[in-house]
Amino acid sequence: MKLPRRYVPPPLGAFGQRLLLVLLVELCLLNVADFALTRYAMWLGFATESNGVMDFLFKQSDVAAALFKFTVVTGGAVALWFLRRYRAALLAGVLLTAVFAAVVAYQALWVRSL
Amino acid sequence: MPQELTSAEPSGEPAGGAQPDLQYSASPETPPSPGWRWPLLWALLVLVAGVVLGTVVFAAEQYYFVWEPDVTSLPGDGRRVAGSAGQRPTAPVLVGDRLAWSQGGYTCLMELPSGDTKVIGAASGGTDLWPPALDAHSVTWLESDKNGVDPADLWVYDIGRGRRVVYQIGVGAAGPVVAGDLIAWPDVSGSGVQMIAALDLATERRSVIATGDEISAPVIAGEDSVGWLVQPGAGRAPSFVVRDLRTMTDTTVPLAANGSGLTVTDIHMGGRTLLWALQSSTGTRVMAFDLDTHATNVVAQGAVVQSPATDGTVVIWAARDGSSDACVVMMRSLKGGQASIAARPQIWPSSLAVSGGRLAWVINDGTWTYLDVVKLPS
Repeated sequence: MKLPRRYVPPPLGAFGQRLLLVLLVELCLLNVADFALTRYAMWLGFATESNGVMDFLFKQSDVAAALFKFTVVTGGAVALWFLRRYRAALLAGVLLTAVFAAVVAYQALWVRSL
Repeated sequence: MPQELTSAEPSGEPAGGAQPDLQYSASPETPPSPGWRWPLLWALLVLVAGVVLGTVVFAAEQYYFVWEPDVTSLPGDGRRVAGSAGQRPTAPVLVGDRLAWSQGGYTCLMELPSGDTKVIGAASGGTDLWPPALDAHSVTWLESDKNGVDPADLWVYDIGRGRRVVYQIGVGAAGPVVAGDLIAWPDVSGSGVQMIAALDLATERRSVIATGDEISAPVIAGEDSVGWLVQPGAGRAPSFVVRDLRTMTDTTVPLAANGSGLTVTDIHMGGRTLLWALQSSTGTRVMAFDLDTHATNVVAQGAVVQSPATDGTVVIWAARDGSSDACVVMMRSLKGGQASIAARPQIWPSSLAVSGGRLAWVINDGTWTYLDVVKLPS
């Protein structure tokens, strides 16, 4: 009896890898924008940090919060880049960038409405 | 991209001619480089899709879940704020081109020329919201614990920077006022003594500017001054102490004669004028005290005189229109002259405010409450 062959998608080509690289750069820039908008909204007194870890770090110092946030997201982006031969890495890059862009757009509009 | 060193295609020149040069060319088996244009465009598309998603979520949230006051225009550059049960506009404060008021649990600020309105405060559940105080630079209001257990939250909104800051103050704190960099409010010390507490916004230093069992609300701010009521024992008339914040000197203004039996109501300060009403069984007199000249004048009197207010240049009050039950809002310049009709509201107003050539009142038709702002006749 022959077992059905497991589908193995072809590795990510040059186009996909370049797209992933651009998306990861976007993701890191959006992360910086997210941090800046969050800090500004908190300074305005109309927002509080709902993430418990970030709230704790903001209470220590802005530098600690920034270091943590930038390290986590940049580290995730580097990990995805090392996994670039897998198509799932590109899918993750697309989803993360789209969600981060949505969050930053929402925050920018909200801050502008204050 | 790997490239091979290959010979060129035959040139078609006759044999024995010059040898063809060796040169680089792409191998026909190697796919062409994808370049950066399409990856960049696709990445941009992902970015735009995210921005659109965020914008749609923001717009939907604003439309379905975010409360905004119902503001409409009235003839002659007027504004009307409407609200019904649970969201009735109250406690209007006019300063120059700005209006602040409370509505339900919200504190709002409007730029009157444009009608732009901001909700600058939303009281949390379990708190009592005190009316806002406004000056040219700040709005301040108080949220105090309904049970009187937790410290009160004193909010200060910086109009120029669009920034608000909250300070935790005493459990017994009541309605705050703002005069420049100074916020003042009545409070109770730990030993139960009445006091006037203050916060300097420039230095964030807190202080007690007056203390004593006879001190009482309201605390009121005028131009470079803060004042508070002093209620002595039975049989003695109240007085009002005004502290000049430039010279740090106090002026005590007797509001009524001892034993006169008059009731003091509606104490206001506008500019350098202290205003109050004296009620007797026969009618009401509105008194004005000039903080610079220390002169006291009767600026209005009658059988029905209500809700007087001043901005330091004009005094307004609600009165009966002749012998009818209709209401008129009267105005009179503090420089002198006769009183004249400023406006004819359809319903008796419950509170009046005046500043910058505008007049505000709150009227209630039983179902809806309206906060109207109209221009004073020139």
